Amino acid sequence: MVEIKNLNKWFGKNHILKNINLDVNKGEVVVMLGPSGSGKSTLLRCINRLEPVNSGEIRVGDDLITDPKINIFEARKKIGVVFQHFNLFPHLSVLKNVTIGCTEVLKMSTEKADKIAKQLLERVGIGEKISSYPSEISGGQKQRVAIARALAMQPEVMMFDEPTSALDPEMIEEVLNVIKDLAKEDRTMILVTHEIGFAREAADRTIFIDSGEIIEQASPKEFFSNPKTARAQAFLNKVL
Amino acid sequence: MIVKQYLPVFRQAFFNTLGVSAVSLIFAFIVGLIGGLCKISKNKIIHSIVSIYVNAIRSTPLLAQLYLVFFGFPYLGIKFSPFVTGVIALTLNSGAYITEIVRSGIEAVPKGQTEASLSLGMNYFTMMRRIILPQAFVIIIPPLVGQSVVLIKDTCLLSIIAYTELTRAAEIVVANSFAPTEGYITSALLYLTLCFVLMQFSRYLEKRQKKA
Amino acid sequence: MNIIEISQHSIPFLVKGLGVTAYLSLISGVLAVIIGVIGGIGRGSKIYIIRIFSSIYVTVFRGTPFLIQLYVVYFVLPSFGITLNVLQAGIGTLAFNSGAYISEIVRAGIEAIPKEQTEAALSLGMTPFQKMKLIIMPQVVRIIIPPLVGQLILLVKDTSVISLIGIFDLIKVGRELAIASGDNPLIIYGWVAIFYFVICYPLYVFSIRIEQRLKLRY
Repeated sequence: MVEIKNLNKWFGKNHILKNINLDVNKGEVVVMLGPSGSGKSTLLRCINRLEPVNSGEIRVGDDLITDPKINIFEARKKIGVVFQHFNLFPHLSVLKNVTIGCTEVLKMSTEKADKIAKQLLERVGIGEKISSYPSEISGGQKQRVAIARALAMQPEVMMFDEPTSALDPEMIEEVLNVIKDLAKEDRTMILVTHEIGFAREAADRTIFIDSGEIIEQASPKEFFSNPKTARAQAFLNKVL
Repeated sequence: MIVKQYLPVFRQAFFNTLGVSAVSLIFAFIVGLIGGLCKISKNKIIHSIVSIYVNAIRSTPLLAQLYLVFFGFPYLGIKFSPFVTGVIALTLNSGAYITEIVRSGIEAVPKGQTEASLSLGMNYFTMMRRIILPQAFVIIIPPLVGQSVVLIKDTCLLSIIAYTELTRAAEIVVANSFAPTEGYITSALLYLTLCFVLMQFSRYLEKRQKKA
Repeated sequence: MNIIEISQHSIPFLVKGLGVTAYLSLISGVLAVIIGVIGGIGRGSKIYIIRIFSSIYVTVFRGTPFLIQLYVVYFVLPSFGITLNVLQAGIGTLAFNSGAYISEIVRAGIEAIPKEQTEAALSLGMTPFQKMKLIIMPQVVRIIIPPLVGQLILLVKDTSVISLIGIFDLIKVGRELAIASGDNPLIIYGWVAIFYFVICYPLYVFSIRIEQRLKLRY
């Protein structure tokens, strides 16, 4: 579903992503772990071209994202993103936050968009808040709205950039449960997270990234019990 | 009292001041909106042209700009009424400051909003229209009201080009009645009322913003 | 007469006018800063009378046009026994006008310092005066430099208004030249604008650089 070949990215003189090669299969749930500043979030943002790349190829489904001639706006519709800081639209109600992508980008009718939005908001557990505004709901609720907003576009791939890192501890579980639910559904998902428990339970594959390179890839079971590289071991010692 | 005698003059002048301020503000806002959007453009030519315009206006006094417009146009053969000349000078002047206000407003919208909009597949136009500009607009209202106050005070220079606004009204009264105190103090009080109302409105807006 | 001849003829006069503008700006500027600092501290004073008086001062000078203030000082004050010449009226009014805006800048700067700084200073045993001198004011100065420079640029431009009560500054010289010689006014006023630009634009660039430098250090 997602193919990344020989990806390199520099920011000024810093070589942030070094020759990344990664394939994510359809329906696979992939979790990227690693120390802060290792480039995991940057990699995610390259996939829907929020950040440009210096060399290499990224393919999502049938779209060659790195091709400058491609209609990137069309391509982005197929990739859903959930951000660390939610990035909800503060001047729109919860319902409108979810429907605006459908009405403005997918050109759906308002009735159809509302129906889809209400279903999704029920599903993530905030059906009763559809008329509220982002400033009136908690962090955990905001993130669940953000997930509904991304899902409303019916994307082929869902990406999560540290979805629980900005949440108070008591709200992390409600968001993780929603994500775990999605993971069971045969969706292609790429997550960057520090939640080791989640990785163990829900991921099909864990990828360890450090200093812009993929150091190790394995199933969660293998990776956590038997890390093969020294850097992965050092990281796990600090974190577990 | 002398003031009572000249009340009609002051009243007409008061409305003239309001009139030229309102018209200039509307045009200046249009200029500023276009200018602000141009200034955040990545196109270097557009960005440079607007920058030169803004720097030229901000580095020269309004009086000099007024003289340029008022004496320059007739030399080129174009004759405008004092009202139109005033509107042109005030629009160009305030337009530059509003350009900067609009630009800061747009830049003050958090970058995450842009990222979320792009990730939903929105193009630049939709993103600006539905997400960024609505939020920027709320941010720019207080400084915009501030610029309106500045513009109202700037209209006093139009007395030089024989437009009968509040300052010229005072000059007329003084010339006819030799009572500078009544004339100028009345003008001052009328300006003060106008500006005070606007300044209080701006403070009210700022408090409302802080709550949100 | 072509552009070069007109320019050659006017520029020497304009430079003299520029000298007057610079003189007005300098004296008014220094006075305005002094008045502004006093006004700004007064605005936050715990003594009611001082606070009210400063508020009225600021409101009146910010709520009326500079030209009207100038006319009042030059034409109205004589009726109350205070007669000033053009230079005194110009510099005095400009100093008090800009001083009002600077008061607001200083006041905002003082209010921007978190209360915790005062608490920390007092906990170390400092007197209120020491607190102001060693902790609060140094931080305030850093905060207010960019808007202060901005206000001083406005002050330089406002000196042009003083020409309307007869002072022969840069813009008045330009105007008299344009009328007397009947030459293309666009060229003469063009040079006037360029001269103002030469003073103000570097100040503007300076304020942006300072703002960036101060942000980094914090």
